[in-house]
Amino acid sequence: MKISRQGVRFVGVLLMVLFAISACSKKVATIEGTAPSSPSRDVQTTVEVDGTAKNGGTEEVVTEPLALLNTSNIAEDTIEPNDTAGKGISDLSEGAGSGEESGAAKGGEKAALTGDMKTGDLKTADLKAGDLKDVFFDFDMAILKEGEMDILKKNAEWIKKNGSVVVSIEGYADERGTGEYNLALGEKRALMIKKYLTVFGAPQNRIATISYGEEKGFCKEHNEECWAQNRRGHFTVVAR
Amino acid sequence: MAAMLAVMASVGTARAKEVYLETLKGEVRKIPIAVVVAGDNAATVSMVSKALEDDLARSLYFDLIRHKEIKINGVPSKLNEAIRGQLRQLGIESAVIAYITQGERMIKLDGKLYETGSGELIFAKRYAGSDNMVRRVAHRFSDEIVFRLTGEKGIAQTRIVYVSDQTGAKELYIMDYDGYSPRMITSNKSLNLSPSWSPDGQRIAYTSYRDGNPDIYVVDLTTSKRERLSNYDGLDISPSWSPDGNLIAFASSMDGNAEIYTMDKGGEGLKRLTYTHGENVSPTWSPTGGEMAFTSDRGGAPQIYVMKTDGTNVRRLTFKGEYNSDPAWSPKGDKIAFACRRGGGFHICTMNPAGGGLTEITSGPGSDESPSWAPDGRRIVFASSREGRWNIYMINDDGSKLEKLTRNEGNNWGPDWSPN
Repeated sequence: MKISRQGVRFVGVLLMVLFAISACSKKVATIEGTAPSSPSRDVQTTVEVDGTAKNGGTEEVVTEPLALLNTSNIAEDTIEPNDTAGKGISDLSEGAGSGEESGAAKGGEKAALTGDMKTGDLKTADLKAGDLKDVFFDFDMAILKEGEMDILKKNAEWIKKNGSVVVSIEGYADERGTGEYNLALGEKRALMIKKYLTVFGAPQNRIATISYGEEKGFCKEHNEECWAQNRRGHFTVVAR
Repeated sequence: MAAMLAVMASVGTARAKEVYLETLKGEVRKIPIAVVVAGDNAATVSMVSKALEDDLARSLYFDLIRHKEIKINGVPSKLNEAIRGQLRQLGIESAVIAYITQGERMIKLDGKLYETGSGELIFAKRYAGSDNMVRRVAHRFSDEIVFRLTGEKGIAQTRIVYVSDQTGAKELYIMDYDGYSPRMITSNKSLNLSPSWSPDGQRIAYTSYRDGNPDIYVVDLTTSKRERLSNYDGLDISPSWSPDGNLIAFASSMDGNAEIYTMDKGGEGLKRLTYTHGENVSPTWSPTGGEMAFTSDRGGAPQIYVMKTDGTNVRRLTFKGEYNSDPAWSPKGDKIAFACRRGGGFHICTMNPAGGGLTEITSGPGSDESPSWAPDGRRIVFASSREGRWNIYMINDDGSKLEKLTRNEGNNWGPDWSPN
C-alpha cells in the first residue's frame, strides 16, 4: 500500500494543531495560598514555623541574614604601606605631588645610586627627549635591524654628550599577541635597546627601562601600518 | 490504515530526533522546571522572575518551561491535586514558587521548591535584603534550588573581575556572573591588569603601574586594604593564587628575562621555578596544586608548557599552531583552556592536561583571549573583539550558548571568574 507524502504531512499537521489547542485550553492554573505577612526588620537568622510540610513535620523557613548579602564599598584606592616586607618602598609615591623640579632632582639622585633602575622609581615629569629617536621592531621580534642600530648609536652619543640626563626606554608591542606575553616582549625590546646603548658607550646607570606591552599603544587602528608604529622602543628623558 | 501509519511515522521521527539531540549534547537529562513569582511590586516581580529563570537555564541542569498562565496569590505550603495536575500536564517536574514582599527600603523573598509528582515541598526559605539586593537575593535562591535538586554548587552568586578602560585609564571592576552590577575596585588612573581571585574569594591580586613600575598588588575586598606584594626590578606580572591560597605564582623579569616565580601571600619566600633564555608568563595552577601550566617561548614562539610546582618535569603541551597562550586550568582538573592563534586572531581552545583532545570552542571574527573557568568547570569567560570593541563573553565549554556580559562604552579585557 502506498501513502502519498502529502497525506502524511496533512495528518501530522492536523495532529499538531489538535495538540496545541488542547494544551492551550488547559494551561491556566491558579495557585492559592496566603500572602506572607509584612516584611521583617530582623536581619539575624531566625527560624519560623510556617504550615505543614514533608513527612507531616514542621517546615523551617530560614531568614537569610542581610549582612551576608552586603558587599562593602571598595572603590577607594589607598595603599597601605607595606614596610613589614622591608623593601624600602615608602618614598615612591612622593615624586608625583612634589613638583617637577624636586622630583627630577630626586630621580637623578636615585639614578646615580642604583645601577639597574626602573622608570617607575623616577616618577618625574616626562621632559622633552630632544634628539632621541624611537626604534621599531618586526612582529614578535626583539632583534634590532641595521637601520635601528644607526639610530641607537646616535642616541647613545646624545646621552653621553648630555652628561646628567636620565633616559627611559619604554618597550611596546602591537595588539596581535596576548596581553601578558606582550608585556614580556615589550620588556625584552627595552632591555635589548639598553644593551646596545651601553655597547655604544652610554652609561647604564642613566638608562631606565619599562614595558607597556600592548597596553597603551601609540596608534589605535587595527592595521599593519598601525601595528608597525606600536612595535616600538620609545625614548623619554626623565631627569636632567 | 493511512492515519495509523502516519501516527507511527511521526512518533518514530520524534523519538529519533530526541535521541539525536541527547547524543549530540552528551548531557544527562535535564529537569523540567517552572518558575512562578508574585508580589506587590510588578517591576520587582519581573526582575526576580527573569533572574531566577536565567540562572536556572544557565545552570545547564534544567529545561526551563516558560509560561504566562500560572498565577499565585501567595506561597502555598502544599500544592493541591488540581494544581499538580496542571503542572504535570505541562511536563513540569519541579515548581519554584516565590513571593516578594517589598517594605521600606528592603525586600523579602519567600521561596519554595515543590516536587510536582507528589506535591511535596522540597525546601522553603525566606531571604531578606535591602532593596538594592533584589538580584543577589534571587541568585541566592537559585543556587539553593540547584543544590537541592542536583547536589552541585550553583554559580549564580559568583562574580567576575576584569579590566575596563571606560574612564580612560585601565581600572579593575567586579560584576555579577551575569554581567549585572559592575563596580570599580581601583581608581588610580594608571594601568591595572591581570586580576586574579584568591581561592577564598576575599582578595584579588593584580598587576598595577600605580607607582610607576608594573608590580603585584593585592586588594582585600572586605576591608578595602591594599598592599604591594612585589617590588622587583622590571616586570612583576600575571599573578595566580595557588589552590590552598598560600602562594602566588607570577612572572618577573627581575633576573633579566621573564621567568616564573612563587611568593607567599605576604610577598615573602620568593622561589624561582623556571630557568630559560626565553619569556615565561601567565602561570595557572592545577586544582590539586601539584602542577602549573604557563606560556613560554623557549622553543621560539609562545606555546603552553606544564611543570610540577617545584619547577621540575617540564613538558610542552601544544604543538598545533604557531602561537598558543593564556592557559587556564579548569577547577575540575580535566581541561586546560587557552588562546590559540588561528589566522589573524585567537580563538579559545581546550585540551586535556596531557595535551590531547584539542577542541576549538569559539569561532568568528576578531580575537578571543584570556579564558577563565567558572567554578563548576562547565563554562568559560573570555575577552573578545568579535564586535570591534573588546567585551567580556561567557560560553559553555562545548561551544554552545555564547553570551555577552559587559554593556559599557569602553573596552573590557582579562576576566577572572571568582570561586563559589
